[in-house]
Amino acid sequence: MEFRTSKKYVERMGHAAPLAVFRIYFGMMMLAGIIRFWLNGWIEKLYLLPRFHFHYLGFEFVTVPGNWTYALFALCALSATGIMLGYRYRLSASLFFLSFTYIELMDKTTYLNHYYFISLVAFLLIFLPANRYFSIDTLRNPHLNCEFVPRWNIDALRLMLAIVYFYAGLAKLNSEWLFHAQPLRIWLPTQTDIPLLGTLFGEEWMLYAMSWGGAIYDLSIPFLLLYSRTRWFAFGLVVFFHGLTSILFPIGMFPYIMIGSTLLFFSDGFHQKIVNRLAALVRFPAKHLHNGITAPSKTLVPLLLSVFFLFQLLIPFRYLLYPGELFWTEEGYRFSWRVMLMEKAGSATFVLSFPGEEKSIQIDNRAHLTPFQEKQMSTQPDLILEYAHYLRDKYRKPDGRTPQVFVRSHVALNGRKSAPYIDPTIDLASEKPGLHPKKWILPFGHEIQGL
Amino acid sequence: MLRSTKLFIFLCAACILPAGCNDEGIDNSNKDGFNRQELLRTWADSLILPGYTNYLQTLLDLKQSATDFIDKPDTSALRKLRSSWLNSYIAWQYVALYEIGKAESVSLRDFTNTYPTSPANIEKYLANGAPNLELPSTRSEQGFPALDYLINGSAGSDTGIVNRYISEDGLGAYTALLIDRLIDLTTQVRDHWDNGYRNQFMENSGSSASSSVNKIVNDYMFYYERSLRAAKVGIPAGVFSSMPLSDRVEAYYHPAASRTLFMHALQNCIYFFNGTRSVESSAGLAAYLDHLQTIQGGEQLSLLINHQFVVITEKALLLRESFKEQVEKDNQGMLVLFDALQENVVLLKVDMMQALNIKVDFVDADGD
Repeated sequence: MEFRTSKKYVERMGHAAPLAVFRIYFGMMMLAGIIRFWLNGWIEKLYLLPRFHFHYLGFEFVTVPGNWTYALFALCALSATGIMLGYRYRLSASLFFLSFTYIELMDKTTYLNHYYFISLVAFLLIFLPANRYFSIDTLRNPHLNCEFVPRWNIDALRLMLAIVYFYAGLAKLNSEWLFHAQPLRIWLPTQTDIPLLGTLFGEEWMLYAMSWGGAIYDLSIPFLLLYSRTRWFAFGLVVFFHGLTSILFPIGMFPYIMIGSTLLFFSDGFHQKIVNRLAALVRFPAKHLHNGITAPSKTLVPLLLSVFFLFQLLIPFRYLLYPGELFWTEEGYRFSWRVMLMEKAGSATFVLSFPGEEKSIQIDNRAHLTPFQEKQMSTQPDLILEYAHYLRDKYRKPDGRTPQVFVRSHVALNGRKSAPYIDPTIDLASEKPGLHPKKWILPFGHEIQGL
Repeated sequence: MLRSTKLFIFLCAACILPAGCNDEGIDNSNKDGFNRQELLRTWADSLILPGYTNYLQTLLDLKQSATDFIDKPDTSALRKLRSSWLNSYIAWQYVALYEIGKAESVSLRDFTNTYPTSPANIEKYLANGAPNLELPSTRSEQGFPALDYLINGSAGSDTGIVNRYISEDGLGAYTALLIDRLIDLTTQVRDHWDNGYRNQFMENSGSSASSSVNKIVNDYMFYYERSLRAAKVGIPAGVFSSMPLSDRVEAYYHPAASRTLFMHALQNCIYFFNGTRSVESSAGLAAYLDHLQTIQGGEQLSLLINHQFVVITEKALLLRESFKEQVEKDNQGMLVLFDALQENVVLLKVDMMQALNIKVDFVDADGD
């Protein structure tokens, strides 16, 4: 019985327009994003200037290819254009996924949930028939052209969005966010020069209203978007919420990507109208838009995507496997849609000593790291460890002896007074990187309740 | 269709328009009750502008003393020149941290006080003529450290120095050139403040990364960490190297001045933090911190930081006048001072920056 329902679900058809509209919008935003990144000088600043880059576990082979980095970004922009136009789509989507993900893997310093989201969507797009409608591919190969596609293709993207929102909402269900209005209590009062709302940011009730509102928004928005009666209302909320965050915080293109993506929840008819408009604009032959053909259903892809989503649902909960406070240790913090959850600042001073030698050397971090890298490193234990290992190797003596590496570090979390962070007596040079709990992180000393 | 398109465009516009004009906040009346513009005005009017005016005056005095000495070199004129040099060097400590506006664009700090200087290069210039001092590569052969070498270290004794100034035209010419360059740079910076930059500085009172408060607090942090903690104390004490480097002290050829210069630089860091030269009234970052009160539990952050400044002052006063001698005879005292300075790095850079919601990175990259 269950098998039959899921089989029936897989065979349900929908119009291809939503997929095409999403493809175009996504490609366009990615292209704009890459250009913006380039023009801001961030390729140089974030990838070419640093002497050292932080790696992801298992991806140590990913390195910055010198001036070829520009070519990498160009490839990324080109493949984004391919996605937008639906030109050699599968190749474009694959190249975009690979180049974008490679860029993200080049330096862990720049990790952002938004970028992770882009990588995941790009991965999904490789397997979705988003080029079978209103694309250059259909003009080149008319037999590709289909007006209808299996419904699950669109639902996969909706599910991805819903996971991002819902999990971001779950992550807010903790005592810091709900009962102390942190970290908004730190962020908002200095934002009082924003027109209209700004005058309220000094008010206690406003901090709680924003915190609770944000949590409720994240948890409910996928459902409000799903039901046609609340959809326009939900979309209004989406625009308001992301508009507000884009004013308050430096989050670049992300709000606009999300606003556009939520259009996925709108009806087939809505998307057909958009396609018709655009088609008229670019003089796309109308006969290709109404051929009545249905794309062949696939069985392997839904299976693959099910596994993909199972992982998506589980990965954010991996933090439960670690002792200690998640916000403090950050073990299992990334890849979990924990956005804007904490304000953390730190300072880390590294001291190198050679056994048998009395004099130890303190490291000037600026000689090795950019200010941005130093800042990110100071509050994240895995970066502290990788940097310690880099220093160990850098200061290896000609006779092969390596120094012991100790760190004196302090971290302040969500407005608490700064406290010692890493055990200063532990020689980090001999600690192994990995997913195992890091015993050399000092205890937090406070309790944060909730998820 | 039409209706929904219009609604969409309206909503997009609604969210983009405010975003477009938020970068440089114009509204200065912060509802959190703290007037950042007033904070900036305090810094500008009670510390920065008087600091430059005073510094420029000492430079003019220095020029006079130098002219007198070059015209008629003798040991008493040399002593007078030396004391003018030290006065000017001290006055410099009160403006050194404001690497903002014109000072930033002309690299005032690098051209004024990059040490150690290079005697070999200077001797080359004395023999072959001075280079273009606007080249960044010449920054350690100009400013106070180069003058230090010329008037304190170019010969083994005062008589020896006087004799060199008598017999070699190059010394007098180069001395005058260096002083004129300092005057020129400082005049540019001071005039820029006088002709509009003061208002620009005050009006940019928003909270974006490029706002005056964020920028100057980052400058402050940079100065405190790099110039005060590392250059004046840590590097000579050998904190960052395998052995102490007593030749890296400030005013190496007149090392008796090194602690004095440090004390004045520290003093200005304390003034900047409290926004004023008088201890009683509280403006500056201390007042801003007291106002925001974002640190939960424990003592007031401004008190902790000011207390640590007192500790630093006490540790420094235990040291010899000459940091060179201190490093060579009893480096432990230097290390103690360094650790005391470091403790305030944590309070300023971690706790204060978090409370003020100022990012330390100067990178305008996207966040989550």
